[in-house]
Amino acid sequence: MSKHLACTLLAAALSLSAASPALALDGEEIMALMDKSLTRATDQYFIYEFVTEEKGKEPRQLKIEVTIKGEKWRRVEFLAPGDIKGMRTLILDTDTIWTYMPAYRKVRRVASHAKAQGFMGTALSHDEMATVTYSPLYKGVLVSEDDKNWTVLGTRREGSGAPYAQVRFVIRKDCHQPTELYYINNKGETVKSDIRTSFKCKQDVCNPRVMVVTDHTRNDLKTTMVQRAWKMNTGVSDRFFTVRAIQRR
Amino acid sequence: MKQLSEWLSNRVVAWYIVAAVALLTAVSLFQVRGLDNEDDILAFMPQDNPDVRLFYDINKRFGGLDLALVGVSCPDAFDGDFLARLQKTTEELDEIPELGHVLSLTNVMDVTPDEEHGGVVTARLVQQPPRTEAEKRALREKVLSRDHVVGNLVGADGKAVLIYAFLAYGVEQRQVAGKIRDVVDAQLGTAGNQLFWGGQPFVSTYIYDTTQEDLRRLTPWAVLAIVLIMILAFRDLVGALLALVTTGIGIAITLGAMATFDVPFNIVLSAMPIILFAIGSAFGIHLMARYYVRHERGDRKALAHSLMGVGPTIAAAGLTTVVSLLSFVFMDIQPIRTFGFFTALGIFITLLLSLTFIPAVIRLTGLKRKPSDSILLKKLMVSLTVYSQKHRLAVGMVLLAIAGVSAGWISQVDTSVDNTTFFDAGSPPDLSDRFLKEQFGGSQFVQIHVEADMDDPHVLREVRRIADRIRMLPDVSSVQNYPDAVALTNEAMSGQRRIPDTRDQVCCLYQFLMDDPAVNQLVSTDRKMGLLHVKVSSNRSCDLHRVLHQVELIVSQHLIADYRIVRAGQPGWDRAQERKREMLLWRLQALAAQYDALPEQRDAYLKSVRALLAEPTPQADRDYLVARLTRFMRSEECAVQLDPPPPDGPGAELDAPRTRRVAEALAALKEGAGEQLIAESVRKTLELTAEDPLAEDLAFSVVTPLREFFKDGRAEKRLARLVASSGLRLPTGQKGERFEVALAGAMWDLDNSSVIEAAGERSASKIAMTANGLPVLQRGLSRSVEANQVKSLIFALVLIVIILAFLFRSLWSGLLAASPTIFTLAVVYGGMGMLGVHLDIGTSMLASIILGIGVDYAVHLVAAWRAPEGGTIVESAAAAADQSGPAIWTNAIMICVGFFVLTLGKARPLQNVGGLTAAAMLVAALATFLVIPALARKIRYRKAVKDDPGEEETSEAVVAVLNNYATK
Repeated sequence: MSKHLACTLLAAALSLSAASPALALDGEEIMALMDKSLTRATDQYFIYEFVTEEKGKEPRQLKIEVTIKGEKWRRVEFLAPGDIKGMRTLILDTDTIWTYMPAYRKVRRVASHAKAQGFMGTALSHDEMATVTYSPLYKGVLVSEDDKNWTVLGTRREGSGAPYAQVRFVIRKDCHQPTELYYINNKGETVKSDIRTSFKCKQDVCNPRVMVVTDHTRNDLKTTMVQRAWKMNTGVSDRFFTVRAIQRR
Repeated sequence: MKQLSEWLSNRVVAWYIVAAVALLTAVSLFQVRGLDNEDDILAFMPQDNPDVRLFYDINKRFGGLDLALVGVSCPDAFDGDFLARLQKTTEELDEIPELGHVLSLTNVMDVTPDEEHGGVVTARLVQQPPRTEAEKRALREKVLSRDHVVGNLVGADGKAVLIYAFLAYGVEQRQVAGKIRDVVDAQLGTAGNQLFWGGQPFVSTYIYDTTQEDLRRLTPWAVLAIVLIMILAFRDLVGALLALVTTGIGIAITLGAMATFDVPFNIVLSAMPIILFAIGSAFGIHLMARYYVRHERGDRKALAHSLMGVGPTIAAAGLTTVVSLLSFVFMDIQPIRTFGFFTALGIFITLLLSLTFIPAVIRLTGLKRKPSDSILLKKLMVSLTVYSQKHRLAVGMVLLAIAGVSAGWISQVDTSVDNTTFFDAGSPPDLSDRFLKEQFGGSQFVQIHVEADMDDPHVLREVRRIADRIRMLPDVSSVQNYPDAVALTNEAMSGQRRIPDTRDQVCCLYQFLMDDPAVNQLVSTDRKMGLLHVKVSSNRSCDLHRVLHQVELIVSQHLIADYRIVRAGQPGWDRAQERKREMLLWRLQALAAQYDALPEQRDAYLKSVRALLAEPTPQADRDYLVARLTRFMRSEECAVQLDPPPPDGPGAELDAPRTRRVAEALAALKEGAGEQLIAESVRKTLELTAEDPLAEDLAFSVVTPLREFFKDGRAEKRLARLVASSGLRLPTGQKGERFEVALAGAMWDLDNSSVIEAAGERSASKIAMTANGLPVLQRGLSRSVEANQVKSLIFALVLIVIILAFLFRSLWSGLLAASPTIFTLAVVYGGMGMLGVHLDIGTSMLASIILGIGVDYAVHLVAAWRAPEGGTIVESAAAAADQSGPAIWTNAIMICVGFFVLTLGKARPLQNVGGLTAAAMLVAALATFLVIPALARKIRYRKAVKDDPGEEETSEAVVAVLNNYATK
């Protein structure tokens, strides 16, 4: 079966189920569907190119290779710029990062409790880089819907440690992927937006090929992430996600 | 004037003039509704000045150097409720788009070693407000042990905090200052807290707002005082009102013109009504006074003859004022240029109206009044003028002496722009300055712009050496710099608080720093430029400029501008070693100063440190190496665990026999052992086969830490010697521990195998440093103000003399008429030098204003200087004083009172300008009646007007004074 046909069939099946009045979903259920679609693959491999634009400054570029296994494990290797080429980071839980720095030829363990900080000069924070599922952080309420999308307002769950008071999600009905995320502060102002386009599906897993994140509190600092490669269910070993593995490629 | 008087004799023409003026006024008033207001304080900066341009370039590159400081005095900075409010304040401020970055105790990061798992823990220093007394005590102890936080974000006694708000580039300071105030007031303006607003945005806003408020409040009173004096002097309510309405129309047309040409109104223009009412109304008053006299004497063509007689003099006086104000267009400060041009336009329009509209109204209404006759004032003026003429040598000598003394004081006029001279002791900015100085070491910064390869560790060490020297200057509280930020991050990532050894390492560290907005104020994103932020404890301009001068000296005399790198074994290495020790000496001094640990006997201390640094290289203790290696191999940073983790987690050194054996074996290796040697040692110790990858994995993991432990061991030994022998006053507790960590990191540099040194010739490798920041900006402003002063004064003086020479048909006569004002300028500027009044934007405008107004008095006196055929100079003097004296003094007192009202406000700039202008008008009027009689050598300076029926009769005052002299 061609990739195109698989994607069409998946979209058609999901559209039919979502469109049925008998199956009207509430915000929580929609967010659960979204989380499921975000974690459907056993493991995934990506190459992303980041371009960060800041008013009055030269654009900055970053290229990374990301391997994800399960909901928490991820390993990132920096491919560009040259300053950090070969640097590898390993995340086994959201609070701890092991970083191998080729310039030092050693691994450093950094337990971070400050995840709101920016990630490598981009518009993304460590929090956003680490967040895979949203239901544990935000309680969803369906705000509106049309034939293609749901709009769900997620409000921070008590004690969840979610970085924003609210997030407004626009979620596609066909593949349950979020296409727009608006991060909202305590005063109800949108402080950051994340627009995802050019979705590509393999079997029942979809991913955006372009994501544009804009931080409105930092002079509209904008990072465009373009997916250059994507593999899924490669059967990567657990040993790939160890300190020993990141110091020896 | 003759033609004009003929036209005005026609009632239809008079009606046309009145109707045209009414229509123009109505249109202008309609236009005025669209007049914009410009509140931007930065507009007052001279944009063409090189210092100012550099400041803005740097400001743009680093995203904003304007810093608003909010100090909070509170009962307990570690109270849970207070910290929660501070946290909320910081978050809300961070969301203000015009702020690039906000820093407070609640969002500052903290990096600490993770003793249990290895590596470091990064977190906010205050993760959450304490809920119990025990949590509060623990937080207090932790925060007060952080030397970079105490004195910067929290007071040493824990009763004050400071919020730093960095303004984004190009935003309007007043607007942002207002937003910051709103947020902070709402959250922290509670009972028990006291708020202090510091930094340029708040200080400038205070000066601007108080000035604007004073002008808004005092202008009606000043105008009222002028009107009352006018009515009292001329005892003519209708005439005074006509003059006032004329001036009002002049102001309306001027503002209408501004609106039509989209020129915004600014704060300096707020003074325009007072100036126009004070100067402009005099034109009409002079004309009407002459008209009343002639009408009273039965002159049937009183209006025409008055216009022909006094019209040219009024026109000349008005034009000299216009020229004086136009001289402001030569200044490089836009709002002053706008003020000069449009106030000159206002004066010109009022002058035209006085010579057209007022005669037209008189023609249509047949206005007539009995002229006022102040015999006492006339007598006094005639006596003074005649005395000065008769004793011109003595009077001249006295005037010359006064001018000489004044000229001496002029050299003492302080031209430095000093914010502290703009507000009084006890005012909010003054209280803030004191608070910020006492609790946080000041609020003023000198920035040093660095152009160099900021990825090169050698360059970073040289930059830090300069920073260390600056740190040792008096009045310098701290020097924030990129090399220190790199060293701190190196401590987090590598374990040593020092600048790393290789370019790759520096580049790597930048990736961890680039998201910290504070670091963006220290280095540009391309790392080709950097900034040092020198905090100065004093706000006084003399101290700031002294620090600035010393900083520039250090840079010019000690910075290696063209450099080369000498590596171990290369020619010149011995000399380079000497330089390495000298650099370290400055580092150790600066660290000791930072931790208040410098001994009293500085020379003895330096001598002992020099001796210590020259001692042979010590060897690391084997036990020390074993302990460090064991701890590392049990941490989560080591790729291979040789023993099972203890029940409560890894990191413990107990029950780890294999780890211990390997550590002992590796500690016995020679320093600098490579991976292969280490792997062999591990394999041998653990009896592993050649195929087992464990030895290689462990060797890869341990090779770098092992080299570092050797150096750490040596640094520890040197540190122990330093502490024991140099007399350092080691702080107690955690602060002392952090001081020792910093010293140990510095000691590492003795092992560096390459050193930066002067190339001895021009080199492609360069470091350039330029002092900048607010003090440089102020210096640029000072230089601009000085240059503006000279340019505008010369322009105004030359044109005024030309106008006067044209009026009196003689250059010498023109100079004679200008001489009292030149004398007045000398006295006023001498007075400024004597009283310590600074030459600033406001006071620099004085010269042209004094010149424009003061010269009018001389014009009227010289124009009236005449005696009958065969008369004497004394008679001319008496006649001139009699005819012009009351009007001159009335005008001088009007302006004096009008401007004196401005001294009753809170704004120091207005107090200075108001007080000095008021005094200057009295001096100018008095000087007119002393200088001109002393210098005059003719019986008349202006030709008789054709068709004029003749001069007025000799007055009672003249007769009385001349008779009095004749009988002596």
